[in-house]
Amino acid sequence: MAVYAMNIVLSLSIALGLLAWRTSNFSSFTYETDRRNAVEARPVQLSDWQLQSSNGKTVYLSELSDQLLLVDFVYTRCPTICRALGSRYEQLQRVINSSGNTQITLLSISIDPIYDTPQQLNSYRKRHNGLKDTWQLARPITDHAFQTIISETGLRVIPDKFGGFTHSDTIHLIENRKLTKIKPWSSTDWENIILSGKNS
Amino acid sequence: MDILTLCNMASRRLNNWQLNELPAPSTARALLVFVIMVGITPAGAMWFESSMTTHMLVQLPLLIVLGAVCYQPKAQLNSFLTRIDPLGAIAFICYTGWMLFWMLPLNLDLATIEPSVRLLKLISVPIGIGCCFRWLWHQSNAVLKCVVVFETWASVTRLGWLYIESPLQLCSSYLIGEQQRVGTLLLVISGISATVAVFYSLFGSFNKKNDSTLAKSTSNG
Repeated sequence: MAVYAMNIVLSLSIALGLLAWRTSNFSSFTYETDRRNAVEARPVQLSDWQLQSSNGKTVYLSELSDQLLLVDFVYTRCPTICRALGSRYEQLQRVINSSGNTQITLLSISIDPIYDTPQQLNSYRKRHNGLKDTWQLARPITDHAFQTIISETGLRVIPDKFGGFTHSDTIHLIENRKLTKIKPWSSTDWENIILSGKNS
Repeated sequence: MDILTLCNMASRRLNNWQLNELPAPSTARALLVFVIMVGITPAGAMWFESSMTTHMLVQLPLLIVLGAVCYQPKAQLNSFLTRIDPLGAIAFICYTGWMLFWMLPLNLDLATIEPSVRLLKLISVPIGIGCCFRWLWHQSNAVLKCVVVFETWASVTRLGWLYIESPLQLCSSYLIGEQQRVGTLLLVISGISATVAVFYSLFGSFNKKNDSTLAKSTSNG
């Protein structure tokens, strides 16, 4: 019976150990939290994303991310979360301007590149009082570029029945082409990063 | 009739439910292989996983049921299992652990993204949940059987309630509307199964011929 009790304890330990390992010590139960924890634990080296900016020119991630880059993913027709993200970027833009920190750039990348032409991107920025110096907007040029962004960031984009998309409402911090942090748009960490000028 | 007598009757009826009327394991085995193969192929995986309803309420239950029906260990394996787990407690831990594992939204999402996690699902669900359930049902006493039944039922109910009430999209691969629909279906399933379980516990099998065996065993002791 003692051996049986030991077997039970052993199997219980294995089961709990596996669950703890899978959920990063019982801290991530959803894909989104797991993605954030994984990036914090091990920053992701990104490839040189090929994008088309809102002025129609081709830009590469390496040209943008020599300093700190805050990236969100939006689509301009979005009636819900992208508006909140736009307002949040408007707030962060004010913080950047008041702090005088020129080492930080905001970047919104479209997840609906077919509809979001440079004109649409410009009008989205205009709606949120965005300034070209601090807030860049871009779309992936090819489907391959779009799939690369999706796979490297782990972003989930699901088409909904209204012709729009459901997607993550997080902001991504990229430093020297390395994805180092993913946090919710509402996190106050973003102000701290802008004010301190570094990833704290 | 007091509540203790009712509970006693319920546990005796559960204890006498021996899963003897299941289809032949060979048919179930062929079906299980078919479901696994469909689950591996890109088109089949897409069909099963494109909707939360087919993923959670068709594929996973199919794998569990077929795994349980397939389970028929050879004498050598049977004696080994009897030696290491005579009361079904280890099978209970394994069953609960895998149930918990596949109830996590994280793993459900990863199964739709990563082929390795998809393969793990197709192997672990029939073996870790289906076969373990069959083994623990065979070995355990009435108390453990009651715990298994009530805990499974409560988990399904809790999950359904969580899916309906959560303002967050728990699975990144599925829309929140679909999550709520699955939540509602889980609650419907738990409601129906609770009603059937109560009727079964109180009045026995709908097939009275089989139930006479229980009556005899109850009267004998």
